[in-house]
Amino acid sequence: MKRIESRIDTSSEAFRRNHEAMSAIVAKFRERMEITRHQRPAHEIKRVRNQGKLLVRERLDLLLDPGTPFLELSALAACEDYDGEVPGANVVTGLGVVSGREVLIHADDSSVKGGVWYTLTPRKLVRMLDIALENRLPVLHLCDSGGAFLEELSGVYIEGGRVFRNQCLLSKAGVPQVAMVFGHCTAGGAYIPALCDYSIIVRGTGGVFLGGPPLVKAATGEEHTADEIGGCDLHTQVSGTVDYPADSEAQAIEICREIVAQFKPAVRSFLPERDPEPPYYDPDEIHGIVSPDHKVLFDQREIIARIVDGSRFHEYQPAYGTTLVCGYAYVWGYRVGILANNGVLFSDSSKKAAHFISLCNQNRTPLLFLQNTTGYMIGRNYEMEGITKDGAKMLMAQAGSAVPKFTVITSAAFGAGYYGMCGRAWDPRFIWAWPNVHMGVMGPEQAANTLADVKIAQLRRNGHAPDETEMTQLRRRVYEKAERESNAYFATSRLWDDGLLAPTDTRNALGMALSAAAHAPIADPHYGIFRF
Amino acid sequence: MRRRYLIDGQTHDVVVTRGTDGAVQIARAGRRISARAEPLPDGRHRLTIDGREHAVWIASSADSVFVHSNATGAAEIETVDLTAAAGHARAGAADALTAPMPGTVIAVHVAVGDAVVAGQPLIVIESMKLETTLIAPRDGRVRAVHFGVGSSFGLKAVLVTLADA
Repeated sequence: MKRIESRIDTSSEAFRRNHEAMSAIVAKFRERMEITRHQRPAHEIKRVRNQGKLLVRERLDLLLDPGTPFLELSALAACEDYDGEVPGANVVTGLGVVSGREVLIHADDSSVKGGVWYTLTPRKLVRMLDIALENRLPVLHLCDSGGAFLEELSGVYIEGGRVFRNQCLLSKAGVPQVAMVFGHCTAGGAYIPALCDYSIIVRGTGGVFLGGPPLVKAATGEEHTADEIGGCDLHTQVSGTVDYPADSEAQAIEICREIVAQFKPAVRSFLPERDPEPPYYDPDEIHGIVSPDHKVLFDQREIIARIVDGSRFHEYQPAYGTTLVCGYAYVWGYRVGILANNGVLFSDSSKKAAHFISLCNQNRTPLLFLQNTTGYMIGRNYEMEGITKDGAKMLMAQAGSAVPKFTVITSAAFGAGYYGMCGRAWDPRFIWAWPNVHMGVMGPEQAANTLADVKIAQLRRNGHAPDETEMTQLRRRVYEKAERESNAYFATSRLWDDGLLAPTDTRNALGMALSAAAHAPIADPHYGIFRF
Repeated sequence: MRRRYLIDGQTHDVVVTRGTDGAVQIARAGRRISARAEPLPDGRHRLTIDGREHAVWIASSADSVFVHSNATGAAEIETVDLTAAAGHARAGAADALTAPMPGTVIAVHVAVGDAVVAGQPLIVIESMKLETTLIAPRDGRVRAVHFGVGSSFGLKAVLVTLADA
């Protein structure tokens, strides 16, 4: 396979400017990650310590195999919601290695308000459990949450139920789950350990009950301590709700590691086909290629060259539908079929996509979508040519895919292009965005102009003719809102992706994701009706 | 895989087939050669070619491999890319820069007669909210710039033509 010949001039002014701007964006992202993971008020840390508990990151350190990578999912969930005061939506989820097995982890973070559930908490858990279902990955639950936040009850109710429903489906699919009960599992949360194949509870701090002491007192007048109605001894000796007693958190984690060690080894549906080879071009150069302005296009072959093995790429249909680059490459030895936007999607690029996707399904090659899209081409000529039905072909092929799909948004994700290129709703096994990304139904300028025009017309109808300053202010207000809501942090806060990813970490994340995806069998491809 | 190598100015056309056991079969001018390479602990490689063993040092760059053995000295093996020019045989195909999308010219970086090198930015266009820089596909000279700043053009319109330098 031939090496991509990079055209980037690393000594150019444009490269230097991009590099500076992107490095600042990435540094800001890493800083926010660091704060979300580790920065907590001193009194909250003191409270956790006084309870004799470990912090969630300390638990993960004990649980994960030393020296192995942990791919955290949606680390910045809720970062732009609840005034940014609920780090990661009070829960850590991720893909890691325990006793040599790839597993998904759900770890409650009780360092903020006792780890209570906000609306985004079950949404993050449901997404992790969906990943577990799609990829047949075992799940380890580290339970320590105060239950639903009383001011968010209505938001938590429906999505919370799906956490438990997904746990049942995992069990039905034969995917093992283990729960470690470090703190309280109250109300719905009590079902988490109860629905696991194996559960461990720490004596003294662990508790599992449908109704906690205050609720029981209010309902029946009975007065009990938490330990009396759902502690370690009650559940491991009397009720049989929990399987293993532990005297400390470290002991509980050791028991869990031993349970995982005897899981049956995974049967993989695909394997690396070559020895991995690092990219020939330095991945750090991505910072100089991508402009922080999403309107400035760059050649995605240059990005491919800095992600795939040996920067080698076999381009499919290099002369047809050139605004979509398609071809084969290897990532950590795994063969992938790549689709990457190099401009607007036309009829030819859409048909090329549909064809290439069916090829990859036929030869069992996982698909990697590198998104930088402002959508499908519009206009009378293009409609006559059938742009809408050709886009529909692309959607049909993509949605009907049986091979695993992965999506990385490198700059822009606007309009229906985001759908065609396997956006969140199209069930990619994993989807990430870089921190520079802008996304939305339409660009902030378009949204601002359209909405402002509508509002101005509305004012006029009501007999008020807005003057120039009023109109400018209105436009600016709409623009600023649209701009804020097209930001990568806004999207990741609401779980539109599985997290933001620094460009230079993309290759490693993909390697882990491919290995994880190989845990599930690949069905035969079949599709709906293609409109010809 | 069909390969062309250049050794000491001489061209060698071979077909390389990988076996499942790490061995490769090389077919050259009707002759079949069985070969295998294994790393040795001292950093050298053991090449086994039709049963004969050679311990060699191997160093590789982007397009060349240098093989050195104490017995035969050093040899450079250059790989000739057989598909690099694929599809470019159509007369002047690489000389006409066409618009990948309909749009407007927002900057022209070259003038007629300018010498350009492959990869050099020639013209910047805007279409569908995107700014695209078109680069020279090869070394050459600018023969014509067909649209100035502010002009609109359709899909596949020829924007710049190049000539030999």
